[in-house]
Amino acid sequence: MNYLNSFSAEGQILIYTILILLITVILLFVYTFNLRIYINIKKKFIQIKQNRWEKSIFEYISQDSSRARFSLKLRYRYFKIFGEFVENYLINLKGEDFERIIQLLRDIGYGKMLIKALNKTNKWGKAYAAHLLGLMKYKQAESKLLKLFYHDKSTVVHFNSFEALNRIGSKEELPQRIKAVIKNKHIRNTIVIDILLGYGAGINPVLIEMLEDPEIDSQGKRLIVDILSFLKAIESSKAILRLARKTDDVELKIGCIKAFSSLEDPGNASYLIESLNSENWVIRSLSAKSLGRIGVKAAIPVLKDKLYFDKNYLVRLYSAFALKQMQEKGLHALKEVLVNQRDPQVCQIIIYVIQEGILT
Amino acid sequence: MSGFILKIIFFFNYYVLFYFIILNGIYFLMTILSFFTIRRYMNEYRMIKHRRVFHSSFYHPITVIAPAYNEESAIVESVKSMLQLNYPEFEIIVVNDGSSDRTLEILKEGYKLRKSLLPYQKLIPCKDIKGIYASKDYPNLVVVDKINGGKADALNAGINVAKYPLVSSIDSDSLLEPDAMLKLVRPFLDNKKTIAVGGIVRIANNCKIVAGKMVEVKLSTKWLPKFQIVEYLRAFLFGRVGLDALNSLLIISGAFGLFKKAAIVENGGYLIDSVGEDMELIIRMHRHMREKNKPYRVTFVPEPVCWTEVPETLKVLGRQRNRWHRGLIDSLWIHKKMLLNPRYGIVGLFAMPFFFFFEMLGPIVELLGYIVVPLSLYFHVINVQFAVLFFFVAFVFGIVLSLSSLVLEELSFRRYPKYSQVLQLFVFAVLENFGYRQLHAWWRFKGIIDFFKGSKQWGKMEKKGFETNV
Repeated sequence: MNYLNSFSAEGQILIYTILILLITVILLFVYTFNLRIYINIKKKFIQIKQNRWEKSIFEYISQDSSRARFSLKLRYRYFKIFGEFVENYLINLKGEDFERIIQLLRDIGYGKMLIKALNKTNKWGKAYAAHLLGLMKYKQAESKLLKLFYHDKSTVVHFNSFEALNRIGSKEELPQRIKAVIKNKHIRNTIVIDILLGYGAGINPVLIEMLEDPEIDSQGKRLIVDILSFLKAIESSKAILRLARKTDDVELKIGCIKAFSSLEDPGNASYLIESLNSENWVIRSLSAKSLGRIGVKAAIPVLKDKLYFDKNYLVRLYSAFALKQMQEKGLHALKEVLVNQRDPQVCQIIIYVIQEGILT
Repeated sequence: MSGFILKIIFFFNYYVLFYFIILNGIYFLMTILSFFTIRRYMNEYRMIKHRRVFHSSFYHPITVIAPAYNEESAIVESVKSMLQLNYPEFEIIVVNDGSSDRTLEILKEGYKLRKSLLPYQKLIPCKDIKGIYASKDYPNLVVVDKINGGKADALNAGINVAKYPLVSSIDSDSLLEPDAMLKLVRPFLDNKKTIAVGGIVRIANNCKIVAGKMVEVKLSTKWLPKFQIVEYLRAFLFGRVGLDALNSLLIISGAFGLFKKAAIVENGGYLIDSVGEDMELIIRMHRHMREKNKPYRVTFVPEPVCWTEVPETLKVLGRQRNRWHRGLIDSLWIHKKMLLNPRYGIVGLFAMPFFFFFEMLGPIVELLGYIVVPLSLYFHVINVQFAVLFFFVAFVFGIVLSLSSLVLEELSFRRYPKYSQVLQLFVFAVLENFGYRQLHAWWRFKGIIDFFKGSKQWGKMEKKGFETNV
């Protein structure tokens, strides 16, 4: 009568499907337990290895043991687990202890082992090897890392080789490299920020120059402004001000105003006072906040005006905070507004600001 | 007449077959996508775990909002756990939603609260706020006391008072892992278009929790929580991860999500009279952003963990699932315009139909199947052997999917350290197909009926509180 009311080809298909599914169930079961067994054995194995390595490293640092004894315990196939072990030392040790560890790793040929891994493993292996070479500050890897940075298609290898080059202290085409990383939309902002922060203030001149670069888009410039602001690069203040005046991108303008707050440069006061009249309430409120932080007393009349008349609640709020930060004169202005103000919300803001302080 | 019934039965059988193939095809695709997504996440995480940015002020400050209604037994402990968050800058806002017990008094005593004049703006609708309290000992703790208006209303009140650009909604009886927010906030830094992020919710029943911290992950000694562990792993590890990979995430659990405050305000906040306020908000965000042609991203991160207690009795679990299903229908009904509408892109053409045809109507198809198949056999519409084999395929495929999520867990996070725990989860992944799944379909089916009856009830949830787990 119909397609389903028969048990020939369809039934056979179902039987095969069931068989395949049952086999899958068994395989999943076996795989999971094997995986668990494998991982547990590997964990124990790694633990034993790492305990030995740890002992050796401490002996080495305390100059109780020979390097030869240590080197015997490391083979290429353990480069990753050794890396996981040694990574914490490379990150946390400082000064003489760090130098001794580096010397040890060089002596046992770990740097060469990692360069070999840069050629042989998959993208995650390459990225990890690059990361470790960077932590080791292994100069000999510079040319290989540069090659990977420019030619490897994988983003993860790209940024790890870039970071490694930075750690090594490679000056080769530095501005171009930074530009390439900022322009690469596949690299996460968190990672770009982290890599650039690694330079500390040393990177500021390059970043300041990039603020004027037409090849870098607003998003990239916003990132640079954020970094300069975080690093409190006061020397970038003028370039950021030029950028703020030039750009039409609201997000970038907001970034610049936040930077002015962090840089606390009174030279930007006139721009911030102008910005209190912006059409965008976020810009107005942040400008008020920045003026308070810098303590621009010349802004008191405008801030008072904002507290009285601005339509946006947050602009009023931040104007009140800003006035509170301007000590006697600001406090006097707040009290004056309180006396003349009939809006209960503004009164509440002022009373809160006077009695309990300011919000961060 | 009987000919007509036979025809209906006949077509229903084909419909079930078609439904089964499409649904399981999608699930299969999602499993594959989840596998690759989680693998990539694990590799990436290994590469970034030591990064400075995790501890820098680049992280946007966040406000964690925890609505509390009659939570006197666990509130102090829960707030303690929230205050232990490892995050550069955050505030906790506990919203006492007109509790009839001593929730507010206990908070006042426990955290030395004093009345504050903290100003706020009513950006989104909520019932009146009676008072705001600040803590002497914890400057980042704010308690809002308001007239009872339900969870969504309490969240809206919290958003109005929140001072930071990112707001997180969590259940006050949940437990966050210390670095949960650091992980949850990453997508906001990585992609400026991100407006909402969800994290994984795991089950804490019987786990050892000391001073607001998860000390030992254990399986519950009871059956129901174990079924739910398998269910949660499936829902989060391959459901949400898979939907996220397809850019079709329609739900971020109310128990654990992080949002851009401006985006919530722009969308008018949580819908107050909805029982599925978390899902409704996300769908509304999708709708709004697509209608305004604004670029945005709603995403899911599989690792930050929020631990929660789940029901241990059939009665309470049934009520919970009934409510969840009513919430689903409510959300889909409000935004029915998006269904199969190309204007809404993949959300309108894939996510909405998937949730409508498979998640919402699923229980009807499943339960009707249990009725129609015996009828089909009785009327000889289908062959007995074929029916038996087909049922078997459906069951075994269900088992394969559940086991796949356990494999994903093993490949990635391995939160259950003992062999016996993994074995038990395997057993429950198999057993859930014999009884529990059918019961679940029944609760959801009742949810559909209750929705059309107009029920908006939440149903009382009975939770023991984490302290009793210590």
